[in-house]
Amino acid sequence: MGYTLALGPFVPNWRGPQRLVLKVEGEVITDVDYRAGYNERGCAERLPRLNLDQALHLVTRICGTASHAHSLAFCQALETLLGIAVPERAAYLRCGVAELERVISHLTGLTALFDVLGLERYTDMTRRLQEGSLQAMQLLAGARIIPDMCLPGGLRADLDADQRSELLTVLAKLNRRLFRLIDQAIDQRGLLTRTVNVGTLTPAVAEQFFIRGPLARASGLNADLRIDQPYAAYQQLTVRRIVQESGDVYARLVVLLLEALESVKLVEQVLEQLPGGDWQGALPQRLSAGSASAEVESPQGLLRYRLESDGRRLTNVSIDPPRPLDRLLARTLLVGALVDNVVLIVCSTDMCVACAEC
Amino acid sequence: MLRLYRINTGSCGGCDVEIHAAVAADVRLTWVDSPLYADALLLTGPITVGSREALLRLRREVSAVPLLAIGRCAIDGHPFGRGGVNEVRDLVVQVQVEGCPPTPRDIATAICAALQSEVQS
Repeated sequence: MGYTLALGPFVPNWRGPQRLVLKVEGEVITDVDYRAGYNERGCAERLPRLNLDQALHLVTRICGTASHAHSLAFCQALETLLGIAVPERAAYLRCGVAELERVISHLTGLTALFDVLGLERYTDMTRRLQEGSLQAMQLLAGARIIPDMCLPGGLRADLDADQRSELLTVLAKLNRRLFRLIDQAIDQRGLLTRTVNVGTLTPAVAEQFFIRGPLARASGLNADLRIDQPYAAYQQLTVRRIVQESGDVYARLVVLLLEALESVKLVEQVLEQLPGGDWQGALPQRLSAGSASAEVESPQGLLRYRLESDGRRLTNVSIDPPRPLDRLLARTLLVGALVDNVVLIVCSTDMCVACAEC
Repeated sequence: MLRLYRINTGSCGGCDVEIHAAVAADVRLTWVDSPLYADALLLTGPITVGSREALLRLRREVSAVPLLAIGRCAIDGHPFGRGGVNEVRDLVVQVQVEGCPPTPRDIATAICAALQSEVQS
């Protein structure tokens, strides 16, 4: 006999306030009802009513784990609109903050995943690594999370030589410990049994749903904006594309782990190649009439900002976040899955409701 | 052990990361799956229109458990311009923890202090 089962934020490790109501026959999911909208804060509608300082403050707080990605996309769109050039040092540091933010975001997802899998040892390791990366962010950007770094044309703060060398020490430790975790976890039998061929998203479906970011790269799509259309200083950095073909929970876990490690290496690369010179940004005194857009690779995928201005203020701001786990995608992933695997599959998508419902 | 239950009412996720960091760092704190068994409820986010009813219904069910507003959004809606416990007339919170986001240490201290005063009263 069938029954319904509700899952929501009362489930430990649930990211965001969305709810899933599942129809279950025996042990298999037959239908999924996705209830969202709890996070809608009307940010895009509010942005044109604010001055630029307030607008930048708001976009930085749309998503806690992709805060810099939002402010970077917003600032890059403003820079295109106003024709402002960004000094090389600021562009490098922007990449550094973006990559460290990716590390924190991926480790948040991984902690949840390992916890759902009941692999306590790895949960503890990722939690400690996350704490280490939050401390590294404090050194780099002056805040553990939600770094207020970006300003049009540059940054709010610079990195001095002492901070740089301290940060390099912290990063070397992170790099070592993350490598050790990957080395131990990646072929652990308990992990493979629970994750291989579970919650598979085929490349065709991922492409059809226009999924980007780590979720797409775990399904064999090799889209990565940092390599395909480099922005900030990504042109000068060596970014390794992480792609897994199988599209299951295991592939998503491996992509998150390897991307976190690559991002730590990228921050190290930024600090090693960091050029001198100007870095300071400033809020523009006046706007130009017209429209502009900018795209960045946020921790969860492609994030696009489009701005329109009448020359005095912003008249329209639209935010295209990475594709969320909506009803269609939830159905595709979950119908036919075992009820025991639902939380695991949802956690493995590592999708951000705060970005989606801004 | 102090058992905690988190209520996300449209948070950006920043306070939630710091609450998790606080729980991981402080041995006195732990998570619980149901608000019915919690010693304290932690509120994050600006209480969006969509989540207000769910929050109020939950609060009616567990009215005796202390409610803590964590972060400025939960207090006054911060950058979102409206929301927070200040705007919900019938909602009383025992402690407000300022910050965007507050530090894990502030969060842990506030939770322990709130529950200690609860026991004394």
